[in-house]
Amino acid sequence: MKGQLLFLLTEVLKAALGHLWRFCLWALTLVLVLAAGTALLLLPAGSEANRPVTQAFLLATLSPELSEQDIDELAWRVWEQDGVGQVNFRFPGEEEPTAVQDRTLVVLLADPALRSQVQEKLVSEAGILDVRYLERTVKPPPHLPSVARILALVGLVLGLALALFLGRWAMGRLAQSWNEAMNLLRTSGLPESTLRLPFLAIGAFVGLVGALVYVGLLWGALSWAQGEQVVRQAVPLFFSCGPLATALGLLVGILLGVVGGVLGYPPRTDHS
Amino acid sequence: MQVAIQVSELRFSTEDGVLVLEDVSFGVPRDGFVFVVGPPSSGKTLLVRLILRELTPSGGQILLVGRNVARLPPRKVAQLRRRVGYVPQQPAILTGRTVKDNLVFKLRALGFSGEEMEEELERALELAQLGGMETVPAGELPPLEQARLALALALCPGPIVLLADDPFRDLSEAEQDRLVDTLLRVHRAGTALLVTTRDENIPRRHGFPQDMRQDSSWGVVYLRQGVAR
Repeated sequence: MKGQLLFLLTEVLKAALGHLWRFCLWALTLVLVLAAGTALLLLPAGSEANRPVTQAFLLATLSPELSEQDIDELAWRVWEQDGVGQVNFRFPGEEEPTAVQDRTLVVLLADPALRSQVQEKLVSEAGILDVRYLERTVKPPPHLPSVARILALVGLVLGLALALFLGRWAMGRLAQSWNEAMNLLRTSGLPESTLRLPFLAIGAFVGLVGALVYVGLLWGALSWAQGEQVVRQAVPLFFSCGPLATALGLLVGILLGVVGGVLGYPPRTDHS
Repeated sequence: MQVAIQVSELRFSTEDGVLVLEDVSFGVPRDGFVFVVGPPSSGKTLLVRLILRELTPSGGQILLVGRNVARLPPRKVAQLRRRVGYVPQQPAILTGRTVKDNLVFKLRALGFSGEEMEEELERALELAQLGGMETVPAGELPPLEQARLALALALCPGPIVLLADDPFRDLSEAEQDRLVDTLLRVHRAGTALLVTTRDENIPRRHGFPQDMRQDSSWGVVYLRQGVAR
C-alpha cells in the first residue's frame, strides 16, 4: 500500500511539474491570505487605536556635578524600581514630554499608583536636585490602523477567493493532463479515495510552500521592525506574535492547500 | 458447475423512472465465454457497470465470483475488482507511453513490483499477442493493437473473469475476428469472459450457440430494450 501510494504520488508530481507556474501562483495567493489574516488579527481595532492614553511622568532635575557615568548608573537604579516603565535622559532645551531647562531624567511610570514610592526613591538619590510630576493625555496615530485593517480585510477576502479559485484551477489542469492515467486507474478498480490522495498531498505541499514563504516574510518583517519605533507604537502585538503566527500559518496554509486539492479533484463522470 | 457471474432477475431504472433493464437473468460459468449482444442503448454498458458495482441495481441480484456485489462494502468491492479484468468501451491507455510502460504503470499503481510484476507483464503481453511491440508508443499502435493493449491491461493482474465492453468498435471485420481469436486464447488460459457487442454476426462467425443453454459454457445473451431473450 505504501509503495503503491508513493508510486502514484511520484507520477502525479511528475505531471505537476508541467504546471509549476500555476502552483507557484497559487502558493503566492496563500501567502497573501496568511499575511492579510495576520495583519487583521494584529492591527488594533479602531476604538482601541483611537482611545486616549494617559501617561504619568516624574521629571528629576540632575545636579550639574554628575558625570555621564553617574547619570547612567542612576538611570539603571531608578529603572529597577517597581512601577517604573521607562527612564530617559534629556538635555536642556529638549521638549519631550515637556520642555526642560536642566539636565533631566524622565521617568515614565508604568503604574501611576506607585508614584509616591518612586518619587521618594528619586528624592533620596544624592544627584537629584528636584522632582516634579507631569501627566499628559496622548492619542496614538489615529487613522493608520483603521485604514490598514480595512486593507487587510479586503486583502484577506480577495486572497481567499483567489486562492480557492487558483487551487481549483491548478488542480483541475493537473487532473486534466493526467486524464488518461486516471481513466486507466479508475477502470482498474482503484478506489477513488486512493486516487484522490496524491492530489491532496500535492495540495498540502503547495500550502506548506506558501506557509513557509509567509513565515520567512513574517520573521524578516519582525527583524526589520525591531528598530522601528513607529511600528512598536502602532502594532504592539506584532513583536510577540512570532511563534503563534508561525504555527497557525503552517496549519492554515496546509489546510487551504488541502481544500484546493479537494475542490480541484475532478468528480467521476458517468460514461455511457 | 462453478459460476463466475450469475445475474438473476436484474432490474434497473434511472432516477427519472425510465426502465432500462428488466428481468435479465443469465450465468457465466468459470470456464465460460458469453457474448451479450444488443443494439445501441440496449443496456450493455449498463449491465457491465452493474456487474462491476459502479452502479446499484434497482432489483434482482448479481453474484460475481460467488459474492453478491450489491451487498459488499466498498473495501471488499475494491479487493474483488482486482480479480476482475475490465476492458472499457473507449480503451483506457496511456497514449504517450510504450506498451510495456502502460502495463508497468498499472501494475505498479496496484502495488506490484519486482519478479511478480515481470511475470504478470510477460503473461499479459503473451496472451494479448503483443509480443515484440513492447517498445512501441501506445498512441502509434493500429486500432487492433490498441484493443489488444486494453485487453492486456485488463489481464494485469491475472483475473478470474474478464468483462469487455464492445471491444470491436472501429475495427474491420478481419480485425474483429483476430480480436475474437485473442479473446479465445485468453479464455483457453483459464479466464471466464463476458463480452458485449452490438454486432450479432461476430459470435455467429465463431460458432457460438445462438442462446444460453444450461449445460453449455459458451453462448449468447441478447438484450433488446433491456430484456434478455
